[in-house]
Amino acid sequence: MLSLETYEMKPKIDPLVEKLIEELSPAVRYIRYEVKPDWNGDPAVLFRVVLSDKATRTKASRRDVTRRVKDQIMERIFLPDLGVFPHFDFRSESEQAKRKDPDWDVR
Amino acid sequence: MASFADDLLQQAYHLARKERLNPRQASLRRAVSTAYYALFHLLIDEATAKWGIARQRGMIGRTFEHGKMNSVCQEHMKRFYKTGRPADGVQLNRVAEAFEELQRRRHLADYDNSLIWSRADAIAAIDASAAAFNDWRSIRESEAAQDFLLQLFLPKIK
Repeated sequence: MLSLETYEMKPKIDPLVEKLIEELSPAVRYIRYEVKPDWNGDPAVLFRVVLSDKATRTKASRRDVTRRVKDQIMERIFLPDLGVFPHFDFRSESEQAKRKDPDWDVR
Repeated sequence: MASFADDLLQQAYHLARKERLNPRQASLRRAVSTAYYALFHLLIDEATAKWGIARQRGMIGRTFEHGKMNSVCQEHMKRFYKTGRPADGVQLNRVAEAFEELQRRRHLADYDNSLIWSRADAIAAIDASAAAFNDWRSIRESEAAQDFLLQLFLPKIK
């Protein structure tokens, strides 16, 4: 179930995320996010980014794609000043297939 | 001689690789926490080393606060992106980003029992800390890096 914070932010964040996936495909497979206070109690959004296995094959390629995702999200989603600080977690498709974590599942 | 921060970083790798098969969650979680503390102590050591009276450095070191350092890092990152990611600020931004990110992971590792860590997760966190060590050491004498250190413990200057 979506938190109230996530529900309220969806109209602002969804179109930006969709555009980002389109641009960074096929390296980025999909992105889930959740708006909730961070451990300090400050408003934050956690992006769970699932990457293709090919994009995560080497440390360098993983570093490259995670850098691009962070830069784009910081510029497009954070800079318009939504009042939430972005955090990131990355995982490959095969890692997610193995762990079957519902928070990371494709919708 | 390796510094305390370097020793912590080495210990983090040791913990993450301690069990060859089926790593214990305790080892992985302590590894992630230690990776954060390695960077935390690196920055504190760098800042306090500037203080002329050696016996007072420990006292000054204890004035650093996790929350305050996190806020400084977030502010630094905001500025970096707002000013169009200047090329000469990339490494310092990576240090701020690593600190901010590792602090979040350290909190999860220390307090969130529902989260299962993989060895890859733990190694990725330690690698991020190690990369921040390298970035820091290549820019540590720059004016921007020195200003950053000062902000980490001073009250906000208006």
